[in-house]
Parts: sequence; C-alpha cells; structure tokens
Amino acid sequence: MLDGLPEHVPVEVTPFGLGGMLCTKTHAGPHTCVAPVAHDDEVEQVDFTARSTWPADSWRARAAEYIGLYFGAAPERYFLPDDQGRPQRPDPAGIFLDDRTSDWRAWTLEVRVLAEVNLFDAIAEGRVIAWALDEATETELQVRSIAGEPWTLFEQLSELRSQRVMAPRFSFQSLALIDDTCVRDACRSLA
Amino acid sequence: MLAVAWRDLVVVATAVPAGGFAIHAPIVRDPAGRLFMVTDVDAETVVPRHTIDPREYDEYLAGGGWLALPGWLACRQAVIVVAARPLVEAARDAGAPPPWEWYEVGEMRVSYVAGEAALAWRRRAGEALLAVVEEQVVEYLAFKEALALERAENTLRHVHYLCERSQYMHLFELYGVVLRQVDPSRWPKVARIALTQVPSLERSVLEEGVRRRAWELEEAAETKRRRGASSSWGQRRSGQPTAPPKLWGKAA
Repeated sequence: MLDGLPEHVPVEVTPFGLGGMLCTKTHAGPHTCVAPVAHDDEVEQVDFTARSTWPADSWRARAAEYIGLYFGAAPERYFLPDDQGRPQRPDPAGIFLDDRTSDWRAWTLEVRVLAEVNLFDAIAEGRVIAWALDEATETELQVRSIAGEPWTLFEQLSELRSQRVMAPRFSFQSLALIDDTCVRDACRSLA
Repeated sequence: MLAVAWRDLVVVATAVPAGGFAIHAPIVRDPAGRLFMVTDVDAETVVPRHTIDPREYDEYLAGGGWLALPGWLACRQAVIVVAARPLVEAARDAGAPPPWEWYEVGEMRVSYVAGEAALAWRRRAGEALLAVVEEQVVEYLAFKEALALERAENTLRHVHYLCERSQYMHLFELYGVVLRQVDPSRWPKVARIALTQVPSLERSVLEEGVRRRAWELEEAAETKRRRGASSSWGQRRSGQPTAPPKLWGKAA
C-alpha cells in the first residue's frame, strides 16, 4: 500500500468499483452490481461513469467531500464490511438505497492508476505504508534466494520490517483500517 | 448481504501455492451457484463477500492457478492443505505422516481437514524434519559423508516450506551450520533473510544461536565417533531399519 503517487502518474477515481457495471441484469436478489445504473443502457452507463470520474488534480478533495457527505460524523463506517458500511444518505443516482445493491464495492472509492508504478522508487522514496505477501509465495522467494537466485524487490520489501503486515492474518479490511489517515482526517474536518 | 450456512456450501477448488505448501481457506459454491472464497473459516455462517465470475473461475482452473476438487461438503473451521508430493514424502519418511488421506492431482496432494489438525501436523512435520537435518549434519560431521551434507541441505529446503514461523529460528540456525560446511559465502544473504523473517531478531543473537547449534551437533558427532556407531545414514541407504530421529541439543 502506497502513500501517494508521484505527481506525473495519471489516475482516475470513481466512488464505486467499475466492475460493478458488468451486470448480467438477470439476477433476482441482492447482487454485487452498481444497481440501478448497472441495469441501464450502456450509453447511459458510459455517461454516468464519465460524470462520476474524478480527475487526478482534485480527487482527494472530492473523496474527502464524498465521505463527509455520505458517512457523516462516523467516517469509520466507510471501512465496515459487506453492506454494514452502506451510506446513510441517498445519492442522486439511487445506488446507495437500492435493495439490489448490497455490496461494499458499490460505494467504495476506486483509484485506477493509468501508468506503471515503479515499486523500487516507491520504496526508495519511503512511500510504502504497508506490504504483505501470500505466505507460500514469500516462502518460495526465500527458498529460491537461498538457492542462489537474486531477490531484489523482495529483499528491499523485506527490510521494511515495520511496514510489514504479517501473514496469514492479513486482510484487506484490517489493512484499510490502519491506513489512509489523510482521507480519514479530511473527513473528520468536514463532518 | 445474506449469510449462507456451512452445510449449504460445496468446496469446489483451491488455489495452488507458488511454493510447495499452503494452508488455505477453500473456494466454495453456494446453492445459488455463486463461487467465492471463504474469508473466515471460524465464522458461524459464511458471507459470499468476494464472488468470482464463472469465466474468471474457469480461467484460473485452465491456467493452473487453481485446482478443481471433487466437491467436498464444506465444514466450519476446516481448511485446505495443499502440499507437493516430495514434501509429503519427506514428512512421512521423517516419521510425521499426516493423519488423513490425500486427494492426488498430478504432483500436488490436497486435503480438506480441521484447521487445528492441519496446523498440528505442520508443526509436527517441521519438528521431525528439523530433527532429520540435525541427524544428517551429525552424520556428516562424524563420518564426513558428503552425501549426508547434500541431503541435509535438501531436507532444509523441504522443512523451509513446511515449518511454521515459530520454528524459523531453529531453521535458520541449521542453515547457518550447514552453510558453514557447504559454502560460508552464502551465509550473509541467508542471515539477512532470517533477520527479515524473525521479528526483533538481532544479528548477534542469530550468530550466537548458530554457534551454539554447531557446537551441540559437533558434540553429538564426537560422541557418535567415539562410540564407533555405525552410520544410520548408511543403514538408510541399505534399506535397514533406523531408529526414530532425535533432537540433539534442543534449545530451551
């Protein structure tokens, strides 16, 4: 998990996961799509997504405003699992209160990085907040390294001991709860 | 999102570990046909949180990243154990066969067992294999059989996959002892790995541990030499029965 990106790296952000637009539209019960928009015609979906996409130069401010508006005085709710973190106020498109939308991805900020991120630079610049590796993969890297293979990136990550989230207790939720303090602080100041 | 009862779930697949061993939560299918990974095997019920698109699921299976399983009934607190065949055989030869049957898929062995049993076997297998490494090192130090040293390094690789983190100190001490004999120039790199893997471990403590472990194994080798004990390694090669492996100088 990185703290910020270099200025030149382009990003785009939406207050929902784009994957939620890929809906079969045939489901009867609660599902993981961004209903009701995901059930609209494709042209309308494209238009909605374009209007909901925040540019790189203002996304942090908009994200703070978004969480402040929809999560009120308890921004921690944003990190709750499943639909426990459902926003408490209705949005103009009707996503948050739609019964067919029961998945956290329908109201989670998705930051899409539109360029390759150089992890060596991120480590050198001290921008790694936390890192974790699947235990089996990490063991494999260790064994290969001991057998003589170079371990470059893994070596550099391994030496960031304090930032390590120890496997196997790692989960996205636990990681999300311990980071992104700047967004959380911004939310509190708005609430 | 509605939770699903364990009895309504079927275990359909598992991820294949990058290395030779892993303990995973299962990939299951619910009565609605949704595929998802269980995120908490201890929970009373299961929330299908990260559903997997069937096309994506098929791609993972076709790409070898996942293995299809026979459709075991899901069970609370059960986990998938995946191990490469050589690791299972090494554990069995070390006197720590798992107390369950394996489902065999090529070179991989898979089982769906109680989480506590899986962890207990992993710990037991780690201990048994570490003891085998020590036996092989003593064999080398006592009789200078090069093959014993080669075997010790190979067994270290196996135990590295199998042992749990609480056994890492013992593992890396043995790496230190073995590499001192094989190629001391490799030790600094392995020591750096040890320092990144064992929380709050200091280099001086690691080096002291290696020295103490080496001394204990030298003592055991000396005793073996003085007694003129026949090589159990030789017995193994000739197919004669050997005594169960012992732990020499187990750290307090």
